Amino acid sequence: MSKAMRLDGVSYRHQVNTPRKTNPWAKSFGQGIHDVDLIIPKASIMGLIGPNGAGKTTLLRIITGLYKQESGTIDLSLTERRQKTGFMPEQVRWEGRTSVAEALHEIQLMNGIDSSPGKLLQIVGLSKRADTPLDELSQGMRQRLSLACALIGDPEILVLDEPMNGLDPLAQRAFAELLRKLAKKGVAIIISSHQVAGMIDLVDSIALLHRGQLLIQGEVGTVAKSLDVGQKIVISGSGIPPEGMEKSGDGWKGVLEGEPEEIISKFQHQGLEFISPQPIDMVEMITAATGLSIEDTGLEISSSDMVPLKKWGEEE
Amino acid sequence: MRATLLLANHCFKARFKANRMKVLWPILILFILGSAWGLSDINANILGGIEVDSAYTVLYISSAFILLSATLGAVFISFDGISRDRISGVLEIKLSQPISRKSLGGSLILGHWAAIALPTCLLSLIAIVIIGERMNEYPSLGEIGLYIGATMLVLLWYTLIQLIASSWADDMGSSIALGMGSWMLFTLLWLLLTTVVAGLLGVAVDQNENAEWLQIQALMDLLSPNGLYHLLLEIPLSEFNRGIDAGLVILSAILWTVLPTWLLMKRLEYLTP
Repeated sequence: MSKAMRLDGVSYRHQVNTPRKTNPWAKSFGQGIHDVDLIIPKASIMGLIGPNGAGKTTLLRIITGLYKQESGTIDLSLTERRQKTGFMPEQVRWEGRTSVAEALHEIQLMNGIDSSPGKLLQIVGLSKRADTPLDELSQGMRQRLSLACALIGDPEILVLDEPMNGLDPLAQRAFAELLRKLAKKGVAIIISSHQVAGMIDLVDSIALLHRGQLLIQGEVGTVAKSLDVGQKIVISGSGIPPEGMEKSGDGWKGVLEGEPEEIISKFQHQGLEFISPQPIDMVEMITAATGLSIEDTGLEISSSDMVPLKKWGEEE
Repeated sequence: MRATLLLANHCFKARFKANRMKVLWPILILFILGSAWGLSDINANILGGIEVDSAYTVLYISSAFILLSATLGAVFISFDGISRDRISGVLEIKLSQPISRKSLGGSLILGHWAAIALPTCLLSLIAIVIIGERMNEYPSLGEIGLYIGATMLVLLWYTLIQLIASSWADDMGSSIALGMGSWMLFTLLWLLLTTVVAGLLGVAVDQNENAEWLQIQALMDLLSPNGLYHLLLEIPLSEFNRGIDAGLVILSAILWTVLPTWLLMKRLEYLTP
C-alpha cells in the first residue's frame, strides 16, 4: 500500500509556563510525543487511539503542519503538509454574526480559492444554512462546518481530531459513510477519537499512542493478534448448558474466542441455536497495550449500532 | 498578493458589519464632525490660549478628538483580532491552511486597519468641508494630505499594537485589558510619564515656555503614537517649534510603522493555537 506521509523518529515537547520568583516568565518542557515512526497509508482510514494525554492531538498538529517537529524527519515539508492536509480540530466554537458561507469562504481564500462554497456546504449538509449566522448554529452544525473547512481544496490527507464529538448518532453514521467514500477515492484519513467502540468498523488500521510513544501500528486484525486479543464470539442455545457456559432462561449462553467453524462443530450437538461473531474489542487492545485499566484510559465506550442510517447530505 | 487583498477585504467587511461599529459610528461622528463644527466657530475660545488663525490650525486642534475617538475605535476593532479565533479554536483551522503567515498577517493588518481608517477618513473629509465653509478658508492640499496621512498612520499604529497584544492574549479578559491598557497609557498617562522623566532629569515642568521641558516632551512624544501624530501635524506650524528636527519625526514615524509590523509578522510566524 502506498504511503501519503511518513514520519521517522519524530519528537515534540510542549513548552509550559513554570513561573518562579526570579523569573515569572520561565518555561520548561512538558508533555509531547517522543520518537514516533508512523506511516499514513493512502486510500485508507487510520484510527489514532490512546488514553487521555497520550499525545494524539500533538501528533495530529505535527501532521497538519501546525507544529514543527523538534527532531526526526517527515517526508513532507511544513508548507507541503499545510497544502496537502485538511484538518478538522476538536470542538471549534464558530461564533459571531458572520454567515456560514462567509466563514467558509474566508478559509477558501486562505487556500487560494475564490469561488462559492456551495458544493462543500452541500456535502456536509449545510446548504440550507448558508446564510445563518455562526452564533445560531448547533454544535453538530459547527462540527459540519469544521469538516467543510477540512475538505477545502480536495486534500490528499484528511486529519480529524475527535470528529464525532457533538454529533448525534445519526450524523455519526452518516459521517462514517462519507469518510469511507473519501477513502475509496484515495484520500488518506487519520482519525482520533475517544469513542473507540464505534471506530473498529470504520478504520482499516490503527496506531496506538501512549504517553507520547507509538506502541504499535498496523491493520486491526494484525494488531489484535500481536496483542493477543482475539475475536469474541457470542453463542447461545437450548437445553442443558455445556461446560463453561452459563444458564440463561430456558437455555444457556456464553462468550468464546476462536474460529466460528470450530465452535459450531463443538456445540452443534449441544443445542447451539445462535452464534454471533463480535468485532475486535478496541478497548481491550488499548488496555492490553498500555497496561491501564478501562477507567484509567479515559476512553468513552459507546455504540450507535441500533441507529438507522442517515445520508450525510441530509440537513440537520 | 491577490490572496492577501481578498482576505483583507473579507476581514474588513466582517469588522465593518460587526455590532461594535454601531457604537463607533455615533462616537466618530460626534467627535470628528462636532469638533470641526465647534472649533471652526470664529468666536470660539480655545483653552491654553491657542490662536485659531487658519483652517489648518483648526484641523490640528481637532486632531485631539481623533485621538479620543478613532484610536479608541482601532482598539475596539482590533483587540480580539487574533485572540477571539484562538479562544474559539478557529485559529487552529486558519493556521493549518496553506496561506503563508506573512500573507495572513498582511490581511489581518489591512482588514482591521481599513475598518476604522475608512470611516475616519470619510468623516475627516466632511470635517474639512465644514471647516472650510464656516471659516471661508480651506486648508491647502498639502495640509489636507498631511492631516489625512498622519491620521491614517496613527490608526495603523494602534491597529498594529492591538493585533500584537491580541496575539499574546489567551482569553478575552486579558485581550481587553491589554487593548484598553495600551490606549490609556498613550492617551492619558503619557504626560505623567513625561513629567516623571523630566523630573528625574532635573527639568522644571511648571513653565510651558521652558525650552528644555518642551524638548523633553517632544522627545518623549517620539515614543508614543499620539505624541508622534501631533509632531507630524506640527511640521507645517511654525509657532509649534519644539526644537526637534522634522527628519527625526519622519524617521520615528517610519520606525513606528516598520517595527510593529515586523514584530507582528514574527509573532504570526511562530504562532501556535
